[in-house]
Amino acid sequence: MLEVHDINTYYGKFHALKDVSFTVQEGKFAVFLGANGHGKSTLLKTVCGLVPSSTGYIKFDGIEINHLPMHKIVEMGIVYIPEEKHLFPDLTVKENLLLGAYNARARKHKEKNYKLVFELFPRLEERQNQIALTLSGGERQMLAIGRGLMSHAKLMGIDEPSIGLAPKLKIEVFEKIEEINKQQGLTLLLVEQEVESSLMISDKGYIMKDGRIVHEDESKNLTIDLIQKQYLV
Amino acid sequence: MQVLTPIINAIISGIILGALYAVMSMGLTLIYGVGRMFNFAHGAFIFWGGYFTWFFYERSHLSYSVSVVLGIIILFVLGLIIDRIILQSLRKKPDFGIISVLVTLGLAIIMGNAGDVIFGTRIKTIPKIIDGFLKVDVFTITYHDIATLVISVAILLFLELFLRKTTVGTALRAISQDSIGARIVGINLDRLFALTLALSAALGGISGVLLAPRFFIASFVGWETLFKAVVIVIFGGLGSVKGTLLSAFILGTLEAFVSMYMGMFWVAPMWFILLVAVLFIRPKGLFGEWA
Repeated sequence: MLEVHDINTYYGKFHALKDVSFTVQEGKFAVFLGANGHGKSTLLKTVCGLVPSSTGYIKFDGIEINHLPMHKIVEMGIVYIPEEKHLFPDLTVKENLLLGAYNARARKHKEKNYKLVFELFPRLEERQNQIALTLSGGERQMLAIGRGLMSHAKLMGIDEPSIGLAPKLKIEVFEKIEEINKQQGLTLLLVEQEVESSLMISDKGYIMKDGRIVHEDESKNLTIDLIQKQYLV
Repeated sequence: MQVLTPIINAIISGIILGALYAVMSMGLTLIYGVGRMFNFAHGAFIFWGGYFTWFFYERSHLSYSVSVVLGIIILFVLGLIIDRIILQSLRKKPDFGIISVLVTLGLAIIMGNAGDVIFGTRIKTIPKIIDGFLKVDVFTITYHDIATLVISVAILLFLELFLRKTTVGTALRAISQDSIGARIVGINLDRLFALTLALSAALGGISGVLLAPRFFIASFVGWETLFKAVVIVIFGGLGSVKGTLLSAFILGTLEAFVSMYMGMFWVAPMWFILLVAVLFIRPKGLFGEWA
């Protein structure tokens, strides 16, 4: 479903992604691990169209998307849930969610997806008429993911969803993400610092260092020891 | 009752002026809130609204309403073109803030001079919307002013409905709150930036027509109205629709009072003093977040 080939991304002169290549099959769940500043977020941002790559290509369902503007990529079925959330602070939960279905493909499924989001995150339904600014950290993360679901995406890139959350909420977030992948069949790309939980719910893990993928394996084969060895080398 | 009469007259004038000024300044607010751009050519859109109406009515002998609508449509399209051709590629640059100021300033000068060259520098006038006046007790108000008030309020209501209830309107609000979030939900920013400038130009144009009896139609009107619009928008808080609305009515009423009790000569200094005062005391304005 997703084919990433020889991607190099620069922030000005800084070489953030170096010759990155990988593929993800439909319905699979890939997690990207690594220390901060080593390219995990940049990888997600490049795949989802927020940041341009200078070389290589990214193919989604066989179509090259790396030179497309972000709104076209969202239209095609890839959605990005950033670490900073980027919710609309003065719009209500309802308005945020409805805007999530802005792209043409999602509009037909607006009603259905709206219900789905509330089934997944009942706390959001209680707060649907509150403005996003007033939500707690956990609720904001749920809203960010819910808004992403509204886009009727086939592939979702989630960037550090558990960051800053209390341990109980972290578990809840991982449970919901697993549900989205297993029950709704969404292909997921996850960037995380919570190594154990991420490996438990994902199919494949990629370790990133200095902008490169230095190790990849099925999640069940990856252990904390192995990863720490990679981080420290 | 004698003492109250001028006060009530000033308040009535203030309300009418406030509504007019709100329509006049709203375009500037929209383009700043959504596009994060200070459009110095806004005044040019305002007086060109007057020019087009004058041209189609006086020269082409079309009816008043058709002239107005035609002018507004042309300005709308002009807004689209300017954004697409000039601004879209400049947006990618890091110092777009400064570039946009210079570019729109240049545009304002070009449009001002073009007006002078094409239409001549003599002041133009267009007829009132309705002739005659209404007399209630000791108060007189022209039908034109009533019509102006009704039209301005209608425009403001439509705008509010558009921003609150339509998908595109909500998308514009979204862009003004978090432009990256807007890209994430798949909003085509380029297209909506162009729409915003077009809407802004159209609003400017309408206000130019409504303002014509008071301000006349000439290129210098562009700078006068731009200045007042800038003060109103800063006083209300850059990018805040609510702020612009409140600010327009407060300052419009203030101008009416100053004009009545101190004379018309004091109106221009009043605006200047207001600008300096706001920037000194509270640059954020009433509801603004960006200083």
